[in-house]
Amino acid sequence: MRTRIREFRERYRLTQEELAELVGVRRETVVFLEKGRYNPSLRLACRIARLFGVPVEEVFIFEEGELRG
Amino acid sequence: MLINLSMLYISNTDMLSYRRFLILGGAVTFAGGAALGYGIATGSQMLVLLAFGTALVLVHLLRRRVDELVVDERLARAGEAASHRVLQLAVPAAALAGVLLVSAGRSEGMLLVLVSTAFMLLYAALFAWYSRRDSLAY
Repeated sequence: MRTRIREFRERYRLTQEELAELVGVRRETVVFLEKGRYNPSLRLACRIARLFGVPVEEVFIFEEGELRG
Repeated sequence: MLINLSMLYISNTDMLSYRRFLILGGAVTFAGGAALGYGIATGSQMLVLLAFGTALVLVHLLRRRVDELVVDERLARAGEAASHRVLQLAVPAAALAGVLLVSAGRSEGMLLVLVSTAFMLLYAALFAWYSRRDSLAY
């Protein structure tokens, strides 16, 4: 999974700390999310997407085959 | 070992950063562990209970004063995975040790077997409970 969290965060001039506080997680979790090393819950993913005003699939991008069961 | 007591003082209105909580919580755990160890070494059950209970209460009180998020969903998941792994490893190990002790004629092995069985039953009951709930912590 690839994410565009960093891109959106920088667009809105937010620090990792600020984003973490806005979506209710620890800063380290934002770091993990930005590196694509943590799959967030549906609730957290929606919270992040809503904060940036975009659909979830614009923030979290799965490559072809990654969603196959 | 010298401990700066002023660092440990917390007034009613003080809130703790996560880092300060880790330092103070670590100090309380260390002191509690030392007292507990001393209690075991000297055979004082009262000291063991007192040290364990006091440390537990103090850590809980400290945690309530942390003004940052202590556990988020990522850490909660990591905790779940760690707990599950401990259960997978520790319970069979304790059961095996218990069976070996019983077969060697040592009656205390039965206690290990019983505790292992109790843990497995508790796990099954809690699994059934949580799997029926609409949503978990996150």
